[in-house]
Amino acid sequence: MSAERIYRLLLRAYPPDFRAEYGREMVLLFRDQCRESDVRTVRFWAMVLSDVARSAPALRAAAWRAWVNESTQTMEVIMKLAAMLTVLLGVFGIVGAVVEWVAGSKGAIDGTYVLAVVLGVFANVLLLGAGVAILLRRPHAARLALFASLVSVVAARLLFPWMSYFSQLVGFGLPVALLIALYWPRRASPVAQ
Amino acid sequence: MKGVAARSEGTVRLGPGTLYGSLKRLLEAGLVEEGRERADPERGDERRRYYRLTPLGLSVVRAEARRLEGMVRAARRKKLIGERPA
Repeated sequence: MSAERIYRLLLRAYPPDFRAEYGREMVLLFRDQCRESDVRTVRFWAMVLSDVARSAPALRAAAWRAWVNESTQTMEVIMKLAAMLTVLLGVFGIVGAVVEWVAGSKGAIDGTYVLAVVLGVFANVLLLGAGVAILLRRPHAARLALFASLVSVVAARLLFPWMSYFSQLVGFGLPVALLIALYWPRRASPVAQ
Repeated sequence: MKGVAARSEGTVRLGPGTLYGSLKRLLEAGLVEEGRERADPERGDERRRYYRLTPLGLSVVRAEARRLEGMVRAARRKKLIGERPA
């Protein structure tokens, strides 16, 4: 295997973007080094390996930091949209529970039904609050509201098994998804301080 | 690479990875830029790119040189090194 081929293999230690930008020139420089040195010596390869070992990890780390930064920005946009959706669904849930209360009050209602509706309203108020907290960049308050909302929905579902699929999907799915997003590790996010 | 080795009297040896890693950082910081000039094709290195200091890079390198000069002067005053380089 030729020295240049070995060096091309070693270049794989560098991030792909860096290789695409500078790989060709690095090979040209390596050719120069090969012309000026004895490639059969241990000293030559020790120098080459030490150069790769010193520079590649730092460049990989820099590429990783850039990626994390980029994904954090994307995540923040997604979180803002999710928070707005949460506020809307919270309002929709409160209105829905009130409508259900009004409809139910025309017939015979028992204490369990009343408690389920109250828990439903409470869960939606908390969901709305969580959305507002995310928009205001208060992650701790948002987490607390989401946990409380989840507990309220679970209690309401146990008391009122006829809860609609949509209410269950919103009631369980949205807080769980937002909690995962809020606990997701990312760097320097103003949302997850 | 040869220039760096010669100027540092062989004490600093840059490999391609260290050189282009540093260049990438300097380019991102706006301290160097890619030159428009092309190399002499007769020398067989027409594919190479050339870089030069930007005005900001020049200011930074001058400031760094002044800082080092100050440190050397202080070291001389403290008699840590001689008046002339060894």
